[in-house]
Amino acid sequence: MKQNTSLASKIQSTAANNFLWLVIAAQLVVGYTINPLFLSPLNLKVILFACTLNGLLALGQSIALISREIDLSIGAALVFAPMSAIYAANFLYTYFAAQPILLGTTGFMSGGWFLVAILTVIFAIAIGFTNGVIVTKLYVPSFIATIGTAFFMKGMSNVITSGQPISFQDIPEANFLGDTEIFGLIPLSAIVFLITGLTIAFALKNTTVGRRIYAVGGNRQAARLSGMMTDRWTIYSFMLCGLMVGIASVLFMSRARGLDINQNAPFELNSIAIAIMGGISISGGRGNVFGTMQATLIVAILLNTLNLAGFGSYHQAAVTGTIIVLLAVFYKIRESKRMRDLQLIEV
Amino acid sequence: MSEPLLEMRAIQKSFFGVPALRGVDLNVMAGEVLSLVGMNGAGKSTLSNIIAGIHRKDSGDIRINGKSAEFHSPKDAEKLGICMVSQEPTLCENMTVVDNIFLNCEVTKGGFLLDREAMKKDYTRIMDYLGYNVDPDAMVEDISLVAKGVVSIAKAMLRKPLILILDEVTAPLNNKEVDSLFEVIRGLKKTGIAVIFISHKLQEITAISDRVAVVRDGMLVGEFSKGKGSRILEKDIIHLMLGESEGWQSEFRERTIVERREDVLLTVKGLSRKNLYEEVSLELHKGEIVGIAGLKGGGITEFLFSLFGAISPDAGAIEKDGKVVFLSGPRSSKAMGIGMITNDRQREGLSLMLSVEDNIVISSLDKIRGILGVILPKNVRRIATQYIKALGLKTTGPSQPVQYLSGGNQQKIVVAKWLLRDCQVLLIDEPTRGVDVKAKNQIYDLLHEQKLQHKGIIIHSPEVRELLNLCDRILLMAHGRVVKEFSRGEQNFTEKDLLAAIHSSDHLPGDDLNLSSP
Amino acid sequence: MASNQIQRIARALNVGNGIAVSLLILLVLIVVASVLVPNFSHAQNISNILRVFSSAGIMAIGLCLVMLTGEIDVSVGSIMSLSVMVSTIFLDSNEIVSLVVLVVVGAICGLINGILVAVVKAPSLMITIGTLSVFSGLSTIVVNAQYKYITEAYPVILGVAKSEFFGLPSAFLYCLTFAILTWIWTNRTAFGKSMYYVGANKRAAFMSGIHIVRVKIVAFVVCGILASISGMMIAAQIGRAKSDIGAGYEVTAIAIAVLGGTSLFGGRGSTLGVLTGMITLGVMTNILALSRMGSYMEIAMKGALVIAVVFVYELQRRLAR
Repeated sequence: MKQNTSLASKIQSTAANNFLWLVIAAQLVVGYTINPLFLSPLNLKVILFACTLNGLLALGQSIALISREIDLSIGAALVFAPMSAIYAANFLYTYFAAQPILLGTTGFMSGGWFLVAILTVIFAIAIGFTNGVIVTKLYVPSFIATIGTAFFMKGMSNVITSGQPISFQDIPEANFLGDTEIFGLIPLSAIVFLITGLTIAFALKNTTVGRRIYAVGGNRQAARLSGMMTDRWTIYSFMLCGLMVGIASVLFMSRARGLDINQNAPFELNSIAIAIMGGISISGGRGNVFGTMQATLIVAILLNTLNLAGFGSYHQAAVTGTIIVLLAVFYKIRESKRMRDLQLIEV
Repeated sequence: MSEPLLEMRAIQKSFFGVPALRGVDLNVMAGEVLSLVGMNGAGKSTLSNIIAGIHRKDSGDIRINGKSAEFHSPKDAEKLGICMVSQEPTLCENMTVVDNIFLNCEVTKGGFLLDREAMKKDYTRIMDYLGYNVDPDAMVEDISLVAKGVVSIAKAMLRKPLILILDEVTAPLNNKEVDSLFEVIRGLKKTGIAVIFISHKLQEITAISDRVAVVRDGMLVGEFSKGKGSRILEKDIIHLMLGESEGWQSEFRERTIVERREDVLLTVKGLSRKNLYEEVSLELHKGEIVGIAGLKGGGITEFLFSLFGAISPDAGAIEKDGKVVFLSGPRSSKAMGIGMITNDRQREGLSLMLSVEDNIVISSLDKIRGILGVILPKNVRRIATQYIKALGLKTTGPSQPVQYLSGGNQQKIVVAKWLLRDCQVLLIDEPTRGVDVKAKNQIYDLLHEQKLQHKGIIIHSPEVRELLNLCDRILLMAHGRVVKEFSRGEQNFTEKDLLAAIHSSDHLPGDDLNLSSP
Repeated sequence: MASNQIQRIARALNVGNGIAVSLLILLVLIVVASVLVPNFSHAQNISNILRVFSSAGIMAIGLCLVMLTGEIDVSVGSIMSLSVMVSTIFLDSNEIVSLVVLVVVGAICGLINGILVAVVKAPSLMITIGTLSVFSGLSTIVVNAQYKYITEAYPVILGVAKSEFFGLPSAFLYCLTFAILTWIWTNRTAFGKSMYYVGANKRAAFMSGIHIVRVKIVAFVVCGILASISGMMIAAQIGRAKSDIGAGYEVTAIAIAVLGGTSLFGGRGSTLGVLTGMITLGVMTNILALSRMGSYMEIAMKGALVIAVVFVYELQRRLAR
């Protein structure tokens, strides 16, 4: 597969890609020094699972960023989609099979896994669709639109479940997804992430879908003048992001054996940090998801190391935020230099 | 004679009740270059937009190859074989040349998968056809301006057009680049494609066109044909465009020759900036208008920006009123009495969403303050009204958002902005770009007035005629250096000599004056 | 033609940077509220609305300034938390000192944002998303105690936040004062007007000699200061200062600013409009409180509201063209 890039950017991206591997290597060393437990199988599994979750969300965010949008609702959707799926499945089961899968007040789910999984993915894509429609048809900038839908979903999740978590203990399908480990080490979910990531990478580079998304993000006007229905493609990229969220939710539920509405890890923050670190440009149209996947590993290891060193979630969030600021500054300084070299006046 | 490729009868179009086209009849033949000319607001853009499917006609008939055609969108027009290439960037800088050309009509294996081999083959075919070469895998952001223009045309070619509309595509190109483009167009003609060419530069029009159609006030007022041996003359075109007995001669009004040299206002000593300009020196006197002529890419715009503080020089010095000054940016230059009208009024000269009055006072906020530093709206209004009258601005009032004004009126507001500031030195880059002839003359009058008030003006313009009209002296810059100076009153202060100097200074063998010869 | 009529109305409504629309919305809501909400027009109810929402209103005024220059600051909630928590350290020693510290911390946070956005020219959304978590992380780390109770021991603060003048809560009067002062600043002074110019067309403002960097930094600093002031007001009103006191306020502030006609793209808006937006949001919440579905429903509605409000204003602007 020949890379369609000019020589200069090819060198640059090769250097960047290798650079990230070096960082990962360095991190492994540092991690072990801080706490030997770092390299224990249990901890490695924890890291890999964190990769899965944050990585899938970061893939979704990357797609949104490439199309020059942003999706700040992925954290809320991660919870809202499965929740709606469970309630919807429960309704369908009760109605058609007279056998509810959700047992009343204890929030214990007894079956219907396949239906729930499929509905989760469908609903997540629908959420993406809604985001896309709001952005393109209601003239709302994507950061506000997705903050709005995030708040809506967060509020509604609590209203509908009254804050009560749902759990399921012995669903074999879920357990399979959540617990299987290849060679006793690599969780199946991590493999799912890897495959999804590679598929997305391939699609973005070698299919018409990819070209359209890059065009919409690179120069929307030009894309429209080429005859593309740009609104439609923006909606498609949000839907793709939703698909990633859907897959992540299913894996999440399997592993956690349930759904807790109140969990509030900073998923949006992490996904942005990972995407930017992986080389996705904030202004759209540039970057590739190989970088995103490497950055996922880096950030997962980083957060894990901090955890082992005794730093709590607030510290971790602060670190992630600092990473975003530093990366944004770094990329901007580089862009400014490029503009200076081109003798362009920057304002 | 063969049937026309495109026939338009009694085309009418109004916007919000204001008629833009009042019944236009136009024929386009296969294999010819037809140029559309007209002042801003005359209707030529509306006409070309209707042909391209961007606007829908209100009434009238359109036939293509004899068959009646109805189309409501650019896509419809494309299906009928009409493609338009415009000045706006229609390329995605973040993607390769090939990806750009095939955007939305990619060649695929099985519907989704990109077939890059096939696309490259098609690409080579098109480029051979056009006679131009660009690396297919190059990122669009890295290629030259001409190459981008050719890629845009290649993109249109993919749709196998019968009619190609080129709307102001030569605006950002210099003469040599326009030459290359014209070669491509001549090649297209031979294959039977009809080219509708739109430009403000009459020299280009007379060089490339087989026929010229002049639009004025929403009507087609005349046509010129390049028949056997006859030439199309610019002055005839201008005459029709203006529609008054005024005409070509008035552009060249007599200006008084300054007998006595006044004090030196600005001295530039050996200003250099790597890759842009080198060792440029000049002296600007009070009451003097100095012109800088030269091809695009000669560093002139950047040199002017350096005098304004927006680009900092690597070496050299600037002195104002005898004292060395360091210009850190437009703000400090403004404070020192230097103002600049750039060549891009929509991006750099005006805030389109703000009103006429807001745009006029933007550079003089500290001057119009009252007690306690308060700016009173009635003062702002008063000032704006003064300038509206003085400049003959066509606007509904001082609070009208500037985006609704025509190009000429917008440019007048930019001029007004700096006149209000009362700068001693005014730097102007392309004072009448995209401005109709009437407004042009008004702007020339304003500049002349400034000169009489002992201000110093430096003008860069690609229109040699404009410089001859306004300036006391003209410097010729090529490849970043000053190579020659022309003074008013001397023998060589003519258009012919200047053009000859401009082109010969380019130092390229066989650089035929394709543009000025018919 | 009907659409011409609509356009003419829309154009008229855009006069005064959208104030007309926000007043119209407010009027409609007041009518609805007086019908639906029992005791709506009671002095106590109105006073409550004004007092509770004035703090968010003050934050929104600061945010409006940043938005006028074409930027955004989503870290205002965290600036609020951080400045409040740091100032509580000094509460016991000297109230006045703690208030000074409050404002200084807010200013410093704003300065950091401002420098990163104006000097480095990094995109403000990304920067403030980052500083949001940095500031909020700091507010937990820096201050060990999670809570601090604001009691009668701190008369100055309570006085500022809870007293009344002529039936109007002092918080509202402060908000009103800030709104009027900033309005005069941004509409009648050279530097203030520059904010509109920077937001309308940054490049043109630069070429016209306006100091882009200074304008933006000042906007961010003032925004930080106003965020910190609003924080202390809220802390006084709810009785305690906790380290996540500002969480979620940025959305409320954005909603208020947009309700008041401030454009997310810059160059349009007015702080008097923000005042209208604040009252409107207050009335809206009043109506919603009727549904008695609790605070989570309010959160959900806030999300939908922000989207609806942005849409309505954009629609009106497009029609007016």
